[in-house]
Amino acid sequence: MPILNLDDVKPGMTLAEAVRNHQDQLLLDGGRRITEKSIRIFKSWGIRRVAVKFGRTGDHPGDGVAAAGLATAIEEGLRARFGDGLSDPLMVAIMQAAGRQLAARQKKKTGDVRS
Amino acid sequence: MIARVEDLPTLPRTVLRITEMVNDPRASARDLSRIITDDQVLTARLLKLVNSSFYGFPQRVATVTGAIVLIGFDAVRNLLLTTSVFDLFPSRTSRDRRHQESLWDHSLACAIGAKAVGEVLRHEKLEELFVAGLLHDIGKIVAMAQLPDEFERITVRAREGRMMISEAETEILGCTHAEIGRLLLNRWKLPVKLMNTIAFHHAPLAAGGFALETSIVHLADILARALQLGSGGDDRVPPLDTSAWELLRLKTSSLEPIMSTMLDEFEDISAFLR
Repeated sequence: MPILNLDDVKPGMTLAEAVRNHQDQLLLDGGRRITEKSIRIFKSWGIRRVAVKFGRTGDHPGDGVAAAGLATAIEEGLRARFGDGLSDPLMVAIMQAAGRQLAARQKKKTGDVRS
Repeated sequence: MIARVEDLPTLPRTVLRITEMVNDPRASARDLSRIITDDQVLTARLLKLVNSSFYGFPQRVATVTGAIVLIGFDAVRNLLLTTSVFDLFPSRTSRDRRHQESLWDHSLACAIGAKAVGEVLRHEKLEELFVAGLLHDIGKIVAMAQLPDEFERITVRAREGRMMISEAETEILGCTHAEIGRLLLNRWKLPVKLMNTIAFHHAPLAAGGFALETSIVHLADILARALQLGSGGDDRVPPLDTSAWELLRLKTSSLEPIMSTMLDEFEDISAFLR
């Protein structure tokens, strides 16, 4: 169940969990289809992230980055930091997730500088 | 080192008065507001925090009383406490300042991570988790301020010996930053939950009734290290305690969205707390 930043949420996606405001009032129930209006309501309440169900190809924001693989320099740096801990599959999962996130940020920063 | 804890600074008078008032059931939001507004720095910090993305309120909060009503007494106490704590240990040299800033960044990343994990777990006290994350390495700040040369030796030993900083601390100081943090919080008479979370963040299940919160901070510490946000004094990512992971009952797939949140919020909140 991925949690997306509101900026990445598109009308037509399905909410995986109910969204409530800080007063615990229900804004939209889990299982409901997200519309432009619901995104506006979430924004007005300062909601930053929502849990969605993935149903369409291309919804996953990390797809491109994952496909590109870890940048070698990032992976080497991470392997040194994790050391012997990489005998644990969970630590490998943490390292890979960190690698994808760091690579995505680096890519975004490079893109920002170019544009 | 333990003996030197007696020489540690006390909490600022205003924060002490706020702590007392939070424990007083007769105190009102207006009483608390009066004390905070006497201190311009605390007033500015509180208003900055309630208007930051940490809370994400849709409308601007303009008054201290309004902020107290919205986030509650405990949250006000904890947030003002944490933003004041780092002021108590000024760095003496530019080297210490660099170490301290880097440790501050690591602590902030851990705080944001603890809150993000808490959100996924639907924990009720997110701001308590944030505070515990922010203060989890306070023992290192103490060691850095009280024993700067020894602390430098510890970081060098950890780096060259490829060991965790706790191991180097035990070798050089005879105790770890977690133990120093526990002593400090005990001296400041802060809540037992916060004290235990800090004392056991490397061995969460030993925290007894607070094992869940301690496991959350333990995970957040590891994620902050993996994302290279600041430095805890060494560059190692320690292994995740298996029992802590089982207690959290998180899915591996939830880790990446948590890390994404940490990276997103780090710069934003950092700007408000500095």
